[in-house]
Amino acid sequence: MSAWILDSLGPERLEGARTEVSRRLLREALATGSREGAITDQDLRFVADGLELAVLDAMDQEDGLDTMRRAAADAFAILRVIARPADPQDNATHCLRLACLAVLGERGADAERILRESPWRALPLTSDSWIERVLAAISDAWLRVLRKDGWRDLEEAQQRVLDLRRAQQEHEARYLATRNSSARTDAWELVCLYHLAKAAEILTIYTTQGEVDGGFDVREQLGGQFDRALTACERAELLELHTLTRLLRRTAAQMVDNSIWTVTRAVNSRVSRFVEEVVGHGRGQRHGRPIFEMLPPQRRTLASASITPDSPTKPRP
Amino acid sequence: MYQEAVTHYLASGGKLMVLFGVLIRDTAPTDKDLQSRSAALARSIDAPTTAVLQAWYLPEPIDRWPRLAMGASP
Repeated sequence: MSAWILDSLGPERLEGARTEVSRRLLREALATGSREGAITDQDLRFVADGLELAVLDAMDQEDGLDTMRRAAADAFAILRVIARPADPQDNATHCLRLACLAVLGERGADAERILRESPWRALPLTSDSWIERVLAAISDAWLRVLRKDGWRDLEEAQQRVLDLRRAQQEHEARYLATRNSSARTDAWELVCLYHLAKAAEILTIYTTQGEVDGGFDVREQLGGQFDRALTACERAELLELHTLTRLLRRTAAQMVDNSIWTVTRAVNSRVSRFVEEVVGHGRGQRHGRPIFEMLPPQRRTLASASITPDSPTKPRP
Repeated sequence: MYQEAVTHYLASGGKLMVLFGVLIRDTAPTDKDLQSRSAALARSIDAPTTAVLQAWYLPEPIDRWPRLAMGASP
């Protein structure tokens, strides 16, 4: 049970971090006071890292769901108020962690809003360095899948992966040829990142179409990509990428669970047609706001069987 | 052991830990190799954090180490 990690952080440190988060959000809303209070960004980052460790520990445990949700929601709350890194790639990774933890803490809608209002910094999508370009494209794709700011985000997420595939043949061999003693590790890193790219593509297709290559086995398809990505990390001992991959794997699974396609699949054909209509809303338009996911209360309502298969509009008596 | 280490690390606010460094060379042993590094570390870490530095001086030249590491005879 991963509660031991939260106990190690200590109730005082956790409560202090929550108070500081509230203070900063209030200050931001009122546009007054200094940004940092009694607890510095460095201290808050330490608590967020500890909470993320608790999330990673709890996510694979049968009885760890509540601990994972609580720790993820607290970690997300901290990451949203501390300063983001200046370096574009570090900035994107920070946003990626923030968004993943938000989804796992049932705060996905807040993360979408935060990323719309304060997007990540522009990434080097056309960098001469192949690894820099791959990292940038995959971070951008995942952030867009997580933000889902209309169809444009999801179409651009797919475009990032397609662009990588087109450029791979030209750049990959040249990049590896320059790596000399680290070529093996760098090759495994690319293997991991390519699987993460494929996973982002699968999730994007499912989010928009409710199926992938005519199949509904999206969990298995995603699981296969993430398993291979994790194996690549382990072969090359890429600890940070391993952690991020585990976080993305659990987040992707949660997004499939949250998807309007997943939640309504078992109802009936009229509901399926309705879902196609609400998902398709705004397609081809710049500012359309379709619905891709159900919020936690909506999922709970459906899960409690208040809507019957025979009557999608009438609550069960 | 992992749980014990993480518990100490988190409960101390990231301070109760040991930095461990190993220098491996194919030269004659000398105290100077570690003196400047230990002096720099001593200025940048505070108790309860500690550092342990070790130097290993191997009798084989450095260009043979990859083959030795793969199991070749000295």
